[in-house]
Amino acid sequence: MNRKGIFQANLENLDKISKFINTICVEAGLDESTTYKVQLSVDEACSNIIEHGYFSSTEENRIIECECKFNGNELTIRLHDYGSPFNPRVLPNPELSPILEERGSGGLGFFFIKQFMDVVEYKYISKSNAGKNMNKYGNYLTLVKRMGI
Amino acid sequence: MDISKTRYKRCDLYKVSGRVDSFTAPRMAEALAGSISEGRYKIVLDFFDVEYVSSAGLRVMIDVQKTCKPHSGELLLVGIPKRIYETLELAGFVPLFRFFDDVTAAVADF
Repeated sequence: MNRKGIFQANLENLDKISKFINTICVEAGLDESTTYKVQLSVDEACSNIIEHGYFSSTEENRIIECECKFNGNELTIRLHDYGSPFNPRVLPNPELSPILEERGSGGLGFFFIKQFMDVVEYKYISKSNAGKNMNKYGNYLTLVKRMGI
Repeated sequence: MDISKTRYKRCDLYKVSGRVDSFTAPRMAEALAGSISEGRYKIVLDFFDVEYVSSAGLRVMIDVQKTCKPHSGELLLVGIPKRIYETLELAGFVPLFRFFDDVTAAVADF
């Protein structure tokens, strides 16, 4: 299975992206709990692209490309955007203190992605390295969910 | 996401349904801020009909709890669906909130 969705990078479209992912997970035969985790991971990643990646960017092509592949064992979702470079690997884990006063309220989005997905890969291709195909530049976030784990 | 409010003598009840994501969470925050601005810090959040909550929704919950507690108030959570509860557990929210199975019990707790 191989599907691609292209979405305008607006918070309003998070619902649409989630439905797209849901259809793919159902088609791949994922159970309800795994489907929810994949949906949440993609939603958190896309929220971040929209709220941070494109927020500080003057890029006109404000879209998120979502490419999904399922080979029977692994569901691979690759998100491509043209926003500012953003490497989730540099993010610290959130403070999960059980004491209310010590709790920060941020950082949970990528924490969920790292907890729920089996592989999280990031790369950035700059315009100067994109070569002839100018649409290749940008952020690539690859999320993999393995079956039966 | 839809949100409706019922005002009780001792607390405000908000019934939320649908998706709480980065697009809709600000509306939930705004609604709850309505109670806080009136000095009403005892709030019940009914999540029976919520399909989905992202970290943006969790952020609102923790911020409201932090605002209410020092004023002898609290945010009580009702009817959290299992898959959403799992994310609250992972986020370490379980010791920070009290959970109820029905609205009547939560409202009566105040």
